[in-house]
Amino acid sequence: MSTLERLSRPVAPSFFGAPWFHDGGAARIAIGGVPYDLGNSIAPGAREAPRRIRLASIGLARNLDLGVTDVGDLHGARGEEAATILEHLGDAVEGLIERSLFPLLVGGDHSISFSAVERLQRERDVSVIWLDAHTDFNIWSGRGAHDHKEVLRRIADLPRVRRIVQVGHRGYTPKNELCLGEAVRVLRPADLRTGGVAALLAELPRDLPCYLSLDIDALDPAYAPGTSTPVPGGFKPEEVELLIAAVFRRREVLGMDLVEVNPLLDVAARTALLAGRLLLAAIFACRARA
Amino acid sequence: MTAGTGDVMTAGSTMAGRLVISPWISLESLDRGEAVIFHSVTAARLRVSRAVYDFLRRFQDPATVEGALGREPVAGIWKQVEVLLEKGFLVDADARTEATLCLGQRRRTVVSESLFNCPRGGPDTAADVAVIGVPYDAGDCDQPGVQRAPREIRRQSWAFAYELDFTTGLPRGWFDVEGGHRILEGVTFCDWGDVFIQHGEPREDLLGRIDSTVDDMAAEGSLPIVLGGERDVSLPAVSALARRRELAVLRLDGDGSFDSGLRELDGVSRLARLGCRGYTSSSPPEGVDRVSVDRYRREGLAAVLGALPDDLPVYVSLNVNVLDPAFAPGTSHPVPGGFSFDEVKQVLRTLGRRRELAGLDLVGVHPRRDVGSITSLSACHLLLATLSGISFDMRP
Repeated sequence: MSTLERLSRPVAPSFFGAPWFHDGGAARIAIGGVPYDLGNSIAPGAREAPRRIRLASIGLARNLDLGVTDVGDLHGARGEEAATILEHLGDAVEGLIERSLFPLLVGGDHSISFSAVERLQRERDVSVIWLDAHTDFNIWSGRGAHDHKEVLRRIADLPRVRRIVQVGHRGYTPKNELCLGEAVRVLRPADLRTGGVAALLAELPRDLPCYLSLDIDALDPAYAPGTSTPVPGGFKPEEVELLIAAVFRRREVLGMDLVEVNPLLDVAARTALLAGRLLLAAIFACRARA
Repeated sequence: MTAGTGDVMTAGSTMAGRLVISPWISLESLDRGEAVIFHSVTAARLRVSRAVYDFLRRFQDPATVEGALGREPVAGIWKQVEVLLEKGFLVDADARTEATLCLGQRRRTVVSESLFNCPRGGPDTAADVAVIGVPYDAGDCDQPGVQRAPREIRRQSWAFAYELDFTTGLPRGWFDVEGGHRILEGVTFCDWGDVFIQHGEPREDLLGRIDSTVDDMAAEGSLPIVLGGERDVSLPAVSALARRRELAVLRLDGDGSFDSGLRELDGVSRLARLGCRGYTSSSPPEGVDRVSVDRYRREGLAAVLGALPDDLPVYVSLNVNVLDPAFAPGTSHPVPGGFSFDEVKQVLRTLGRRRELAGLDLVGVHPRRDVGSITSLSACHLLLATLSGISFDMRP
């Protein structure tokens, strides 16, 4: 008996199978993709990450009401001028904040973090936690958009960003990047292992809400090979999960991002799967707080 | 240079006779003012004026200097001829054995990228650190591929570009994030290229060439760094250094076998092994101090230092497979249960500070098996870590 009833639109995978915001999803945590990598001068591919991480996330949290809604990907992230795209991202983040949603962004390269922090700090003083193998403190030319190596300096120049703690810087660099100004503190992996999470919390004033930015290259390349500039000697996944949990438990967190996953450089989706797990850790930590 | 072409090049009587351009001369660049000529066997490179280049072109067939000059004098030409003869760009047209001698003398080849983008050179450049590559893996019969390692290690090393300070003209070194201070300031590096390898030649010819290159480096007072290639490149390097001074050898390697040969070399009075684990068919040879991964984790660096007398310089052979395959996937002989990157880095950093280092090699990197190029990149980090502890101004 011929029929078209059995044909229907396939279900596009959302992060963790969560309800789509545009279909009426009403959860507090809004997870969205930013398929943008014009800020990565080393290797393209991070723009594939939101899609690949969604795919990798499907099996990770079935039958759990996570309290998450998938707000989709930033529209028009391809084809426009970089500065325009980042401005639109800022608008989108502002839209989420207005609706009292917690913005959880999945990049894309690290330059996108500026858009979120810039909007969040308009209303109040904030601190920023920058989990990364690199300090991203190069000087921006001022033309067009900043890239992923300049973004943290731009953030540091924002008027209401009062404190930045970089966590994970390591290796050998041409210049001393441990001293980045009074408001910035750099914690190397050894510093965090010796002092524990308390070493990080000690650098974050209790009265300042914070933004947590996680560059996947903060983790050791053994766990996260799929990234454009890996640096050996990085964190283990459990170390980062503990850190995320502690930050959410002990400080008010206004938003978070996870960036620089490059599926083109990944090995058997290992990095995408890891990113899914770290996002889950953040989601659980965020919910526990609420 | 040893006997042979060097003697043919002495000036005086040679300059009076017929000369011809070397069959190995090539023109690297030419513009209105200058030319750069290059000797593809000795890797000598010379910048000359346009006038000298035009003069050289007159020697494509044998000619005398006077004949080539004709009625057009070239300023300072006799001095230039002396230099051209010395470097082998001009040769005695009537010494017929020159060409074959030259081929037999072929020592090194040029590489497209030098380590850290440092200057290139050879036996006349006395740098603190000298690098030689050995892109050879014929001995790794089951797992070929490490011959590509010197190239990939050099490529990844460009993440740490070697720079000179504008004011002092001295190398700037690098900032060591973990240590919180600069390292290797004022320490000069020089890349001698790769050892010349004639495919199919007897192994002892190649090993002899590695030996004499490392010997030349030691004669210059440079610390030799050998980029392998297979494990056995250590043997001729150690052999050359041990002839000069008694030394100890520390091999970092995950595989318990392949220790024979090193201990028997003249001048090697101690051989210590760090990182062995797993199962091997052969029992450990006599007279080798073995610090397994387990023993290191129980006893710490003291176990390693205890095996290396503090009055003996140490040659360090680092096989990346001492790391766990999770951290060094790009290796010819992976062995599970290895060290983390941080563990090995800690050993090497401290070793450079606590013992005098005679030389260093880096072996076992297999780029085709790598994930991205993380193993080659990690090897560069470990190389810098080892060098960071050395006090170069205190070396003999």
